[in-house]
Amino acid sequence: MIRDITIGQYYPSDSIIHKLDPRVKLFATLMYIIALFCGKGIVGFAVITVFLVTTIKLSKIPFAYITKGLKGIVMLLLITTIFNLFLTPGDKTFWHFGILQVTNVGITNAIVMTIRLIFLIIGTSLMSLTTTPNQLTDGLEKSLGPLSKIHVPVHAIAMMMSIALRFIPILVEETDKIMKAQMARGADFESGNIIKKAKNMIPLLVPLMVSAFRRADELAMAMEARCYTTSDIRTKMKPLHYEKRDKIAYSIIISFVVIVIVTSIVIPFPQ
Amino acid sequence: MDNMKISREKSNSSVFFSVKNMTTIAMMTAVICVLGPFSVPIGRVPISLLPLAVFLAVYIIGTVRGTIAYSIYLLLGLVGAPVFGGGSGGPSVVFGPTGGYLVSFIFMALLSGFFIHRFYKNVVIQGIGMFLGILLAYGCGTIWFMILMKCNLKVALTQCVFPFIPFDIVKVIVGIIVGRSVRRRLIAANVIED
Repeated sequence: MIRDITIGQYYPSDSIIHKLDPRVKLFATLMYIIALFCGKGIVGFAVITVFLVTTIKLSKIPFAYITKGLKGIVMLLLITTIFNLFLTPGDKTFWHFGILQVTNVGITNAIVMTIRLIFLIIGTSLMSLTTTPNQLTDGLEKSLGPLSKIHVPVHAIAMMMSIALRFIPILVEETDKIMKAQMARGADFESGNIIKKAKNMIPLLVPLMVSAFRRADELAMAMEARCYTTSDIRTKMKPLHYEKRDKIAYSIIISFVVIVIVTSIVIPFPQ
Repeated sequence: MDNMKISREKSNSSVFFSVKNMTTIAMMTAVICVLGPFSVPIGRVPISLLPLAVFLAVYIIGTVRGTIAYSIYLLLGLVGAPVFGGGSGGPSVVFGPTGGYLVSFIFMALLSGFFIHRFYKNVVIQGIGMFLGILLAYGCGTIWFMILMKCNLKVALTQCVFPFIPFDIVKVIVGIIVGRSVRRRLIAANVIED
C-alpha cells in the first residue's frame, strides 16, 4: 500500500563528482543557479552548456537517468511556452490572428525560458544524484556555520534534519501497520465523500502522532542519558575535510560564474 | 555578574531548542515527510495533501514549532529526500517553477497558526485565517512562477491558482476537522500539553 522509500535520489557511482566535499557541491549549485539567472545571450548560455555537459560526463550518471526529473514539469513547460509564444507583444510581428500573435520578443522569451528551466532542473538534480542527504546535511551545517554568529541555531537545525531523516522510514512503516490494523477492524480509507474521508483519517493520524511523540520523548531521554546538550562545543564522528580536488573545483566554479556574467554584460546578443 | 549574564543568555537561547523540543520538532518533520508526498487525484489534477500536513503540524505543536518543522521538511527536500509531491525532491523542485509555493507555505504556517491558536474557540475565524494563509502562499508562489517562466499574472493564476481554489477551501475545512480532533485526542492521551 505505501511504497518503499529509499531516502534520497543518490545514484551510486565511482566518479570524481561523487567524491567532492558536499560543501563544494552546495556552493556549485548555488553559483550555477546565479549564473543561470544572470546569463544572457548566446555566448553566456554556451558557457553554461559546456559547464553542464562536462559535469554530467564527469559524474558518470546516465543522461537518461538525469532527465527523469524533467517529466514532472513537461506539461507546465509546454503550456507556458505556448502562452509566451502567442501572447507576448513585441516590435516585430511575424504572424497574428485576433489576440494571438507571434513576435520576436515572444519567440526569444519562449526559447530562453525553456532552456533556462531545463538547465535548472538538470543542473540542480546533479547535486542530489551525486550526494546523499546525510552528506548534504553535514555540508549544510558547515555552510550555514557563519549564521551562528547571528543566533541562528545551525547545529540544532542540522540535528533535527538528521533525526527526521532517520525516522522517516520508521514512521512510514508505522503508518502502514496502523492502516492495516484499522482495516482489519473494518475501517475504509477509500470510500465515502470528502468529509467522511477526512474523519476516516483520524484513526490513522492519532495513533501515528501518539507513536511519533512517544518516540520523541524516548529519544530525548536517551540522548540526554548519553550526555547530549545543545552546546556547540562537541566533536564529530565523520568530520568533513577539504582535499586538493575540492580547491580546484572551487576555482573552476568561480571562474565559470565570472565568465558567464562578464560575457553576458559584454555580449548580450540577442537581447 | 557578566559571567552570570552570559550564562543566562546562553541558557535562554538554548531553552527553546532543548533536546525535547528538537526531537518533537524532528518527529513532526518526519510526519510531514510521510504525509506530504501523498496527493488525491481528482480528474487529472493531483491535489496535494501538503497544506493539510502543514495545518496539522501547526495545530498540534504550535505556530512556531510547526513552522520550524515545515522549514526543516523544506530543507530535507532541498538536499534530495523524496518528500515533495509525488515523491520528488532535490533543489530542482525548490528552485523550479512551483518552488515558490513550497517556500511560501512557511508564511502560510505562520499566519494560519496565529489565527488557529489566537481564536481557537471560533472555528469560522480559524477557517478565514487558514484561507488567508493559503492566499498569502499563492501570492508569493505566483510571483516566483512569473519570474521564472516569464509570463504575466493572468497566465500564472490560470495555471497555478484558479483550478486549485475550490480544493483549498475543502482542505481548510478538512484541516479544521482533523486538526481539532487529533489535537483533542492527543491532549487526552497526555502526549502533548494544552
